[in-house]
Amino acid sequence: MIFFKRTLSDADLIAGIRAGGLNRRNCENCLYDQFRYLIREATFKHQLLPDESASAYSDAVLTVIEHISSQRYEGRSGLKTYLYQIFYNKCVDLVRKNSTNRESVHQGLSLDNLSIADETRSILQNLISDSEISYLRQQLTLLGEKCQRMLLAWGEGFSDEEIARNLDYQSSAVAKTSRLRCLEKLRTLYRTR
Amino acid sequence: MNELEQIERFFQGEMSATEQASFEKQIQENPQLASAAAFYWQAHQAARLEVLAEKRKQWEKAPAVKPLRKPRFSIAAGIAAVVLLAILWLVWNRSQPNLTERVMAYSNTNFQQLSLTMGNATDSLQEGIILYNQGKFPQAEQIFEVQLTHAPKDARALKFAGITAMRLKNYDKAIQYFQQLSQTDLYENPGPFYEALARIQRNQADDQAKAQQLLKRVVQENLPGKTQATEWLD
Repeated sequence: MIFFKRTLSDADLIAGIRAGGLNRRNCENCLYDQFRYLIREATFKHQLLPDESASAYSDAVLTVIEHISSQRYEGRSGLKTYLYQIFYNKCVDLVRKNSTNRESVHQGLSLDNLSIADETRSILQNLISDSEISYLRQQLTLLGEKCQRMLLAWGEGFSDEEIARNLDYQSSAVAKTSRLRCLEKLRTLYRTR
Repeated sequence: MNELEQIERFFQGEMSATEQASFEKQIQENPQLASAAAFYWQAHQAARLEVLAEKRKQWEKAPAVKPLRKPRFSIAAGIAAVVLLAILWLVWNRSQPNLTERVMAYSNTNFQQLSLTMGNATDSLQEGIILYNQGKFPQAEQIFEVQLTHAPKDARALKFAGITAMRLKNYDKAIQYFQQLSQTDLYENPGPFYEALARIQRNQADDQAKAQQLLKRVVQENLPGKTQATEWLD
């Protein structure tokens, strides 16, 4: 059993994360643990608070997990290098945010990564804000348990097929319909503000 | 296809170039659609942040693993620990008296006086004990030896004669008495333990090895002196 080892190879981690289920959880934990020393380094290097570094590191790990899961990570560099680069970007982003109060640009579903016209980007960028996101997080907790689990799985980057498998839906199509219904419920709650 | 589904296809890059251009135009012209798109994006962010908060709790709960990328520190720390332990062991070892010194100390403490009740028999043995307690070891030895001429297998006489000989540093004689004592059928026979004491103090060629064997026997057979023997063997 590979999970009794504290340190796993890149191949083991990738295979485990892509396998899903308990394997995925274990490998996620191992990935986080394996490079968590980067938190302390970033605290010194970027003059961030330990909590800020830890937060950026968790965010970076989650992004790497999403990329592995969605095959976006192609294995051209080692996992450590890949994670380090994403973590570095998030730290630089935090430093900028701290000094200029600018919105983060390295979020999971970044508008910067979309190939859209500048005008569209600008319109959307004006409509989104941290406070709205915080409000939506509160509203999420008001949804039923099933909807919450569904939307959190979506937020974690699971595909509809994986959501169907993990949450016991007949097919990915059914999972997608249910997920969009949950999203609609959240929008209704959001509009009643 | 409902509005959110369309927005999802837009954000996930599933639209054709023409479809995307048309959709973007709608976003630019229709504030409600723009709001819905912003909602979709923010909802995903909110869900992601919720997951992240949960993951952080879970990840940070686990104890930190030592940095893997600085093995030199671990090796250096390991070497330092081994050296430190070696030094401590040497210091401790030097500060500990050796076995002969410990046995001498034991004998001086435990054989300073013989209890009168230890005799518990003939008058001559009591007389020998009194002389022993007065430090008159040669006289005491004489009395115990006289008793042994009358009763060569008298366990108490053998014991007292052996102890007295040991006090007089006549270890050969002491060993002889204790060996005879060991051959008696005492239920709790201190013969092997006393012989070990005498051998350790005599310290001739194979005395240490024989003493070790005797002490092991004391422990194995649960004979008198077991506690002390266990401590010394350790």
